[in-house]
Amino acid sequence: MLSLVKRVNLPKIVFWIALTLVVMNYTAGVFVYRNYARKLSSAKALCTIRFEDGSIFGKIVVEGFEGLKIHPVDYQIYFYDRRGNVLKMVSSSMFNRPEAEFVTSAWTGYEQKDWHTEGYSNVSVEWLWLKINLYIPLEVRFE
Amino acid sequence: MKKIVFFTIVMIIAYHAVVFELLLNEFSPLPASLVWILSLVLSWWVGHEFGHFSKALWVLGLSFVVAGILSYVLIGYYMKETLQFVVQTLTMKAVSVSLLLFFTATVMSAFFGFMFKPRQ
Repeated sequence: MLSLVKRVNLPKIVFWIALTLVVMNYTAGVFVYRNYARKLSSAKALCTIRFEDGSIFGKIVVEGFEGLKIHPVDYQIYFYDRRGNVLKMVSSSMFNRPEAEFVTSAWTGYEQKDWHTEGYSNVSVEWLWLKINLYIPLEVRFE
Repeated sequence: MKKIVFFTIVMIIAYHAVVFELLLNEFSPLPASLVWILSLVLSWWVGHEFGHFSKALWVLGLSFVVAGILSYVLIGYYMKETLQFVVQTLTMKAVSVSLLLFFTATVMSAFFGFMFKPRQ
C-alpha cells in the first residue's frame, strides 16, 4: 500500500521540487543582481589635489562599497594640456587600502589653468560568490 | 481548462526563468544547465498531463510567447542600472540561439512525456 502511494506521488513530488527550485533560483538571481547593481553604482573613487610651492599633494579615497569586500589595486592620474599631451602622470599601487596619498613635483606653468586631469582606479570587489575587477574613474577635486 | 491555465503559468515561469538565467547566470545560485534540466522536467510534466499532445503544444507555444514578452518588459525594469560586464558577456546571438534550442527541447521533452504516459 505504501509503495503504491509512493509510486503515484513520486513524479508529482519531482515536479514540485523542480518548480520550487526554478522559482527560488530566479528570485535569488534577481535579488542578488539588484543588490549588487545598487551597491556598485554607489561606489566611487575621490581624488583631492592640492598644489603648493611647486609640488602636487594628492589623496585618493575609494568609498561607497557598503557591505562589499574591496581590494583597491592601483590608481593612475593623468594631467593633460589643452592639446591632450600628458604633462604629468602619477600612478601607484594601493596595497588593498582604501586610501592612498602621493606627493610629487609639479610641472612648470601649472598656475595657468589650461590643463585638465583624468584618472582611474582598479578595484577588485568580492561579494557572496561574485568576484570582479572594476575600473572606476576618479572624481578629481582641487583644493 | 483549469489544467491548461495552471500549466501555462508553470511554463511561463519556466521560460522566463531560463531567459533570466541566461542573463543573470553568475548571480543566481544554480548553474544555467541545471535550470534547463529542471525546466525540461516541468515540460515533461506538461506532456504527461494532457490527453492530446496538441493541447500540450498549445500550452508550450502560448507560454513561450507570453514569457518572451514578459521577459522583454522585465529586462528593462530590472536592468535599469546595467553593469557593463553583464552587457559584455551577453550577446544577442547566443541568447536567441539558446532560446530556439530550448524551445525545441521543451517541446521534445513534453512529447516524450506524452509518449511514455501509461494508458489504460
